[in-house]
Amino acid sequence: MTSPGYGVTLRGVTQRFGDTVALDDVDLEIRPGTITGLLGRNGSGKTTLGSLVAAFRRPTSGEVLVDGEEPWENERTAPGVCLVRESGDVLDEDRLRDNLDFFAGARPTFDRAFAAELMELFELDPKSKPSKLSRGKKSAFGITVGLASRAPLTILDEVHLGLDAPSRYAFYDTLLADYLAHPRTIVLSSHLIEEIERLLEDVVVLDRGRVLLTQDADSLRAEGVSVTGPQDAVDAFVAGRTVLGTQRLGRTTQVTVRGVLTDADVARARATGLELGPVPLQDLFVHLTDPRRRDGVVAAKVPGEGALP
Amino acid sequence: MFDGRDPVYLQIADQIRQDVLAGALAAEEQVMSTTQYATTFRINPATAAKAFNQLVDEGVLYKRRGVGMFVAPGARERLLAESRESFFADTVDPVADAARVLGIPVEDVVARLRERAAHLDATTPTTGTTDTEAAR
Amino acid sequence: MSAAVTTARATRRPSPLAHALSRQLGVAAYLAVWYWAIALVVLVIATLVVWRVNGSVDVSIVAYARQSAIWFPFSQAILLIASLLRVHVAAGMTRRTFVRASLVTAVSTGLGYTLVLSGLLLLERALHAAVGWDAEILEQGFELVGSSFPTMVGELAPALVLANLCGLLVGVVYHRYGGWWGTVTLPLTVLPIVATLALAGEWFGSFPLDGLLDPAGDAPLLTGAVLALVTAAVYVALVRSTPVRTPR
Repeated sequence: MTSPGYGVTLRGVTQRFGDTVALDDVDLEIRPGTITGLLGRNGSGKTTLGSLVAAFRRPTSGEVLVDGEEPWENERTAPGVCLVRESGDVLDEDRLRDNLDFFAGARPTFDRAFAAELMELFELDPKSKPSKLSRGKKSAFGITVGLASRAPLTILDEVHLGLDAPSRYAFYDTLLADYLAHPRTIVLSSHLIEEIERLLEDVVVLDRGRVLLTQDADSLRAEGVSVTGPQDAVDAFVAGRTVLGTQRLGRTTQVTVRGVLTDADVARARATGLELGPVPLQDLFVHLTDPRRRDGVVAAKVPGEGALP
Repeated sequence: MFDGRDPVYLQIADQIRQDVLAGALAAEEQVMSTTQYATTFRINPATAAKAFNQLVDEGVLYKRRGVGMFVAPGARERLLAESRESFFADTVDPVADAARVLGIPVEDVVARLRERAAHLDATTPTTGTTDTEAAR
Repeated sequence: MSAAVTTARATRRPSPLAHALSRQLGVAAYLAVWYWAIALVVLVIATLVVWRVNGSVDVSIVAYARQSAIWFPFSQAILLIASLLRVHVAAGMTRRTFVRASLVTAVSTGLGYTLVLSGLLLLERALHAAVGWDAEILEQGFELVGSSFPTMVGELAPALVLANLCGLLVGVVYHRYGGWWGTVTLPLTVLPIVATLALAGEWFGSFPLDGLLDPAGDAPLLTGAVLALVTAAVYVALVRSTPVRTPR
């Protein structure tokens, strides 16, 4: 039986850069063996989180644990943690082939045959050098190294940038197939939530250096409900609930609510002619990280927000 | 596939229920593994597993250790009974409500139902399944 | 069975240190081959030119060339940090491994260049003797003229090894604190190298330490060793705690 991968624990982790607080007293758990989506707007602390877990840096304060141990200068966990950043931490002036040799030598779990397959899939020439590659090809090579490393903890940070849609979907399919064949922990960070959400088992949402939520993706999706109907009926129904957003079109109002509806709620909604629908993870994310909302403007649970002249 | 309004795992569970109801999946027949589901529909295997667990809880599927998931004996009959039970509340009542809003007399609705049933009787053999589906 | 598999794997795979070392030594060896190939060509051409102009060669061209044998590996060490430290950590190896491999590489490069340089000096001496050129072939005060091979190595090695270590130190300061501090460190590390050189060869005729230390004795070796240890210690401390920077 192979290990299902490394888990990650953060306890009270703060990371400052001068006056900037990139992570602010973060407590977090990433379950071993999951594909976890790390979602957040630009500057929310995703990349910093990856850097801490991969021992690229040490936190200003707090404790980072990878597979139960501090990853900093840890000879045991280091070969098992692979962070792929958009910048691509590869040997820029070495041929891709020689790059693969270098990474394969450093990682006990590296699979050369799989790397060759991925090179073919992304149409990468083993004789070319990273410094000569386009942005998309650079991303593809980062993905190649990241997946072929088969590290028990693989963090892919915005690796899709510059990839065209067919290459992205090839990446998602390969990621999933390889994860099924070789279960491990994969942390996936992307702005294209719609594209990756089905791959995710857990979701972590970061917002301005804090953890907004950690949840399994299915239950999170079940928590977002859109309520559509005549304004009065909608307002009455959502009163007292957590309203994430409101949209009006003529006399029709659509309100996004967070929370699980009971059967009685559903029956009541139907009885008053309201339509209930799911909220895509992407919309939920946009609502949750809306700067107006997090500053307390929208969070006031006022269903009629913006309706007054 | 699975682009409906419910979470993916509920849709998977629903699809398997429909397959069992329609007889596409017979009792004691093996269903796809979570891995196969995950690969085929490009979803996280945990999501597929969630659907299967729900169906196991409902007694539609059962697990044979080390082999896989199988359709439970009597699953179709149980699903049929449940569907019939909820048929009037879930399917007929909304029709009545809508007819009222639109000002359609109940007799017109009943006439339409008779017409449709006669058409189906002429084209397909009568089974419990087609009855249920025709009413939808 | 799984234990057997693990063992088989372990014996097939080099340790992280061995892997890092093979990479760093490999690059150093590659650069050394190019450097010495070019240096040899330049030495031969320079000798021929001086010979054509003067009719004889009265200076040791090789002795002059030692300057480049110091500063080329120095800059090579700076570039090693810039190009490899980030990738090394990203590949799942520790800074500890990097530090060990880079120190071994720096010392071996310094010693290797010393040996080649000393060998070339001997070769040149033999050539001069054979052709019958003047024996007074060295710049003023430099003691290499009649010295034995071990003495030459003893005089050259401290400066060359130190140059490599200083290059590493400058490299990590650039990596960690950016261009401004890196450039400030540059002259600070150049000073010890020059000092070691001066001690070894009375490089400047009136170097103040001349009267205090006997250049022929252990002084240069000792000073070089102390400076090398201090440089290495600062380097180790800086690398072991450095965050990995994102390139711009």
